[in-house]
Formats: sequence, C-alpha cells, structure tokens
Amino acid sequence: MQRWQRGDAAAFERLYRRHRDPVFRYLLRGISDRERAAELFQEVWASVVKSRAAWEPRAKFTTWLYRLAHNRLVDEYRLARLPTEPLEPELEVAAPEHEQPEAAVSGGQRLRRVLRALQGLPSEQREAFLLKEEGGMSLEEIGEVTGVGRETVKSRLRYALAKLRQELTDVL
Amino acid sequence: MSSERKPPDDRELEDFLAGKHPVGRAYREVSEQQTAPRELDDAILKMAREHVAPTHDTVVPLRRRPRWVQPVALAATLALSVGVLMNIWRDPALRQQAAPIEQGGEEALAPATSTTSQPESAATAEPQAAPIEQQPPADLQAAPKPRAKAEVSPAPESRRAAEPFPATQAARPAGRERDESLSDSVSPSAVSPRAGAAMPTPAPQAPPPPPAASQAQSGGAASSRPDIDPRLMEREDPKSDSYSLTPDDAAARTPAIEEQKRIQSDDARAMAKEKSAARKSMAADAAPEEAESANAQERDAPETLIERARAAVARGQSDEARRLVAELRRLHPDTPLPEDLRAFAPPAP
Repeated sequence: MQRWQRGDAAAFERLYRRHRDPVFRYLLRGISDRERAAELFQEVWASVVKSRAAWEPRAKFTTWLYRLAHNRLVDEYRLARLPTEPLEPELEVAAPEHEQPEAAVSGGQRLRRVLRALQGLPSEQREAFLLKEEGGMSLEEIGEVTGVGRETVKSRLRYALAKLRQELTDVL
Repeated sequence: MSSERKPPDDRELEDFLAGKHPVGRAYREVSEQQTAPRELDDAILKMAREHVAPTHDTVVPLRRRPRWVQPVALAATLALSVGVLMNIWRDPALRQQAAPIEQGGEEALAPATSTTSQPESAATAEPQAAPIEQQPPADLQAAPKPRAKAEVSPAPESRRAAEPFPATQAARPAGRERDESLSDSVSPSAVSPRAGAAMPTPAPQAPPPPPAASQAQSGGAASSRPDIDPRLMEREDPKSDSYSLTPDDAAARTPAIEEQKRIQSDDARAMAKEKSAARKSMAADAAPEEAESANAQERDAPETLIERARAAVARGQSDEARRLVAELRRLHPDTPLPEDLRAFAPPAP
C-alpha cells in the first residue's frame, strides 16, 4: 500500500489480486446477491483508491480493507432492512438432507448445504466466521473490524461453530 | 494439560482459529469455487491507474521537493554564513573596521587620519609608484591630492589614483580591489589595535607634528612608518597579483616589492619594540613592589652571591668577599661553600 501510495500502480494490482476473491466472497455471503455484491465490491475498491493519499499505516491493510467492506455491508443492512436473524423461509429446505441417510452428498449439494448453513447464522456470527475464513484474521483483528471486543468475537464464533457443526454433521 | 481442562467450545474454537476445524475446512473447499467477476478487474485497475497518474505528476514532486531542497538550502546557508564570518574574523582590517566606530572613536580617528596617516602613506606611495609606472612626475604629484580630500572614506576613483600600482588595477579581481580600498579607506592608526583601542597611548603621546616637521619626517621616515599596521601591509602581497601582470610589469615591480618587504619588516620590528616597552612600563607602573621583590630575590640567590664573592676576590677586595661569603652562609646555610671561597668564610663559633 505504501508503494502504491508513492505512485506504484503495479503495487495496487498486486494488492487487488491478493484480496479480490476473499473480499468478494465476504460481501457475497453477507447479502446473498451476486450483482449487489459486485457493486459493493467495486465501491470498496473505489474507497481504497480514493483513500490512497490519506492512508496511514496504523493497522494492517487487510484489517482496513475489511473494515471498508464491513461498513458497506452494515449500510446495506440498514438500507434494505435485511434481517440479522435467519428468517429466510426460501432458504429453508423442506427436509434436511442429513435426515435422508440414503442421500449421497455430492459436491454441489455440499456447497449448497454449507452456504445454506452459513446463511442461517445471525449476521454478527456470520461476519466473525467469514472474517476469520476469508480474511485470515485473528480475534483481535475481527474485533477491530466489527467494533467489538475480543471476548465478544470469541462468543460469536463459538455460537457460529456450534450451529454450523450441528447443521453440517452429515457432510463433515 | 490446559487444553484438556477447557470446555469443548474453547477447544473447538482453538481448532477453528488454527484452521483445523472441519467446518472451516468444508467452507474453504466449497468457497474457492466462487470468485469475483473478472469484468470488474479492468474497471477497478483502470480507476487505480487514473488516480495514480495525476497525483504522481502533482503530489509526488511536491513531496519530494522538500526532502532534499530544504536540507541542502540549510546546509548552503550555514556554509556561506560560516565562510563569511570566518573571512571577517580572519581579516583584521574587516574585523576591526567597526571597532573604533562602535567605541565612539570617530573623534580620535579623525585627527590621526588627517595628520599622521595620510601624508606618510601618500609619501610612501609616491616613490613606489614611480619606478613601476614610469609615469611623469605630474601624475605622481596629482596622486595624493584626492586622498587628502577624502580622508575617512575616499571615493573609489581617488583611491585608485593613490594605489601604488594603478597600472594593474584593471586586471585585478573585484574582491581584491575591495580589500585594498578597504585598507586604504580606514586609517591604519585607527585600525591597528596597538594604536587604537588596545593601546590608546600612542595617539596622545605623539601629537601631530607641524606641517614642516611632517614633511621632513615623511621624506626620511619612508622606512619606518609606525602608524601603519604591518598586517595591513602584508595584505599587499605581490605574489597574489602576479597572474595579472605582464612580464615587464613584474620585472618593474620587483624592486618596489623588495623595498616594500623591507619596510614591512622594519615596521614590524619597530612595532614589536614599542609594544615590549609599553608592556614593561605598564608592568613597572602597575607593580613596583613586585619588581623590587623579584630583584631582591635575584640579588640574594646563592649563585649570585658566589659570583659576586669571586668577582670581589678577583678584584682583590677581600673584605667584600668575606662579607658576601658571610651573607651567603647567613641566607643559605645549606648551600655548600665552593673550595676557592672557603678561605673567606668566617670562623665557626
């Protein structure tokens, strides 16, 4: 980031390619809308570009980048009044697949199951999980991005893991 | 041990943070298939390049400029300031130029400038200029006139007219000319610390002679000019000007240079003598008791008494020799009496 701040355009391209897919997935998992996620993705990187001159190396670039993405998601939640609780009936399957012992869990099915289980988490727990998995962040960094303390992050992750393990018992 | 005591949630969380949790592994396996749309790459990278290009031209040079301009400017300023100050400090004429003025010595400066300094310096300039320039006497007679008019701060033209070697003035550097004009414009008697602030006595002790006496003195005092500081004369180093002289000029200048050097050395010697005498007289006036005490100590030293006793023996003054030996035994009983003076020692009690 400092090299790009000094005018090295190639440095920005390296940063972009390193964080492109994880940031996009973080946004996509947050709103479950690919087109809207692409728009937010573009806005996040536009913010990075505009903040080039004002950026100061007080924190890791990754933390700063995901905080921008987190703020976009929060704004999106507020605008769309997206529920933070898993109350999406269309995502609920009629009968859980793990209750069908004869069903063979294929790759596509596994993907859907994992994503569905993730969508079933409250947004705070989902964000904590995604920041760890996509951003590779520590508890402190997750707390810095989401604005909560370390113990709160731990608690959210515990709940998230327990629910995901419960939902994905047959595919794990 | 500690991990065994932890509740299952903590162990599961630690596994998850370490990347070993099965849920995390399953998520990574399925999520790697989903990537950002490639059509966004070009737009974002183009936006970044456009943002870099104008700022690279405008902001970066502005940021870079102070990085080296300010330190270099500061260093150059310091170097120039130190150089100028060192030059002023090393150059006695420049350094002391303002000293008499600051001390309110303008009144003392005026008579010394108009009476003693100017005629003599003009008189010394005339015989030096004659063999070099090969000018008619009329020019030389006209030379001192402007100097007499401009006493403290003569005009540059008059100064140049009174220069010993005006033929070479045109080829000299400006700085050199400025130095010479400075040494001419300030009266040497006022510039010199011996004649000015540090030694105020010469000016009152040597009242301005009458014009007739001054003329007579100026004729014969060309070799001893006590009112001219030898340091100022040293600045008239002919070697530094040799590059601007033609061979004929240099050959013509040689006798004058030798004469000038001789005059300078004579002046320096005379000034040193004056200084030494002044110091001695000041010391004698300041502490006569100390001088007497020192003389008595020297007179009563054992070596002195022995020498005096031997001299008395040599002159045949036995009584004087006995008295001196007795004085030696009295003042310095530990000093061994020489063999040749033991005959004059008083008998032991």
